[in-house]
Amino acid sequence: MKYLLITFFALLSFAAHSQCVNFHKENCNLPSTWDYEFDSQSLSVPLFSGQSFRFKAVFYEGKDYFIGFCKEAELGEIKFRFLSEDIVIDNTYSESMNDNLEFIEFSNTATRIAIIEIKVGKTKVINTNERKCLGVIIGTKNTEN
Amino acid sequence: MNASYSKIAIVLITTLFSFYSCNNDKKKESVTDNTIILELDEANFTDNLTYYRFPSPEEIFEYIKLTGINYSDELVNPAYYHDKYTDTYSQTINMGIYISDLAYITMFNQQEKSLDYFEAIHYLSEAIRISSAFEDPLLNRISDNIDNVDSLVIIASDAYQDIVDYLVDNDMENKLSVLSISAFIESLYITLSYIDVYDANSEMIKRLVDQKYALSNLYEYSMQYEKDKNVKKAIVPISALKEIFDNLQPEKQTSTKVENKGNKLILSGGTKYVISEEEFTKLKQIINDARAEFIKF
Repeated sequence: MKYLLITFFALLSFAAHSQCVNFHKENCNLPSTWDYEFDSQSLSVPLFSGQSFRFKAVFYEGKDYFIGFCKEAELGEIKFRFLSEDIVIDNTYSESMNDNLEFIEFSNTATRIAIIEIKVGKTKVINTNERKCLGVIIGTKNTEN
Repeated sequence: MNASYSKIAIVLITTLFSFYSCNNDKKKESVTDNTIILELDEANFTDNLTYYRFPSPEEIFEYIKLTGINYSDELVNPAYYHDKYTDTYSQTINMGIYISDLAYITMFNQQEKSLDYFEAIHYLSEAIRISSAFEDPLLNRISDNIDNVDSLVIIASDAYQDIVDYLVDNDMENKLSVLSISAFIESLYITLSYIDVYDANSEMIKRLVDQKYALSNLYEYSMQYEKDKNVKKAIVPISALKEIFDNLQPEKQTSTKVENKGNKLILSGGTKYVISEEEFTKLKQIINDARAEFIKF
């Protein structure tokens, strides 16, 4: 019984943590116009409602990029900020987006490092004290001249 | 549930919670001073969870545009050396080396060689006990697609991603750090092998200089795990490279701006760096030395 209990909690912990790793690959519905290659810098992050995170990624010169987000329903609205030197792009996506990918697209004329901040709001609809998944899909293709 | 089992449950829950908290604290320490970060509205951003992402070897090769150049068998670490690596450090390091080699090989349509490299990666993944990273029977999938170059490129890319995901998922980012460092070094080693003569205007050198950003993220990522003895060992050449990249002089600096064109944004401007011949020679030497050290057995 003791070992069963230990195994149960160990599995519970593993499941909570691991459920997010492939979230962006398995749960984000790509738009029908998607014509990008998946960029390996895409990621999924387990978050509490109301939590925020940032990631630093590299964006190469002469490429078009797609940055999209999807999330589990328990997470609220998403405040997105893209920062690179003087460039600041701010967007807010409603909490009802869930699997539907919200995204921005841009052409990049110089290689740059960017900080992407994501703040997840608290939802008024579903209360949870568990971490839930947020996925970030980055797509890339060569810019057409 | 009797009292003793309740106690076990409480201890377990507390331990698990501590694990997550520690993880957050670790990330907290890793946030470095950066002019961009200092501009942020910290009042609205309090969690300080920071992730560092960097391009895969395949993406580096694709950006530097190795395509159009002849494939050279001499540049890769022979796949049949895979069982010469007998300790965890050299096995992890050479898994990264082979991942880059595989990206290079598939890019040049060397189908018959790719199977050997897939096997070498698989062998080392078993040696360092991460072979569960591959969800599908990897070698079967490769055998089924051995004549299809496009599929092999996708399988190689998936295999890399599977390894990354597995290591992140299983809290083995120290191993991912070591593997990513050697894969990065191998990517630059192969690239530099095509540059015999320094020419500041060479497109390949300019694109090599752009790896300054990938290296910066890789370095910051790895520094989170510097207490691990293998990371500490692997990071030495990366630190030396970072010093060179950090001291590069800006060639031109144009103001960054965002324009709206149709449904798409255009991000333009920024800082372009130039590498001197002396810096280039030093960089090449560091990479060649690191690579030689990594593959020796």
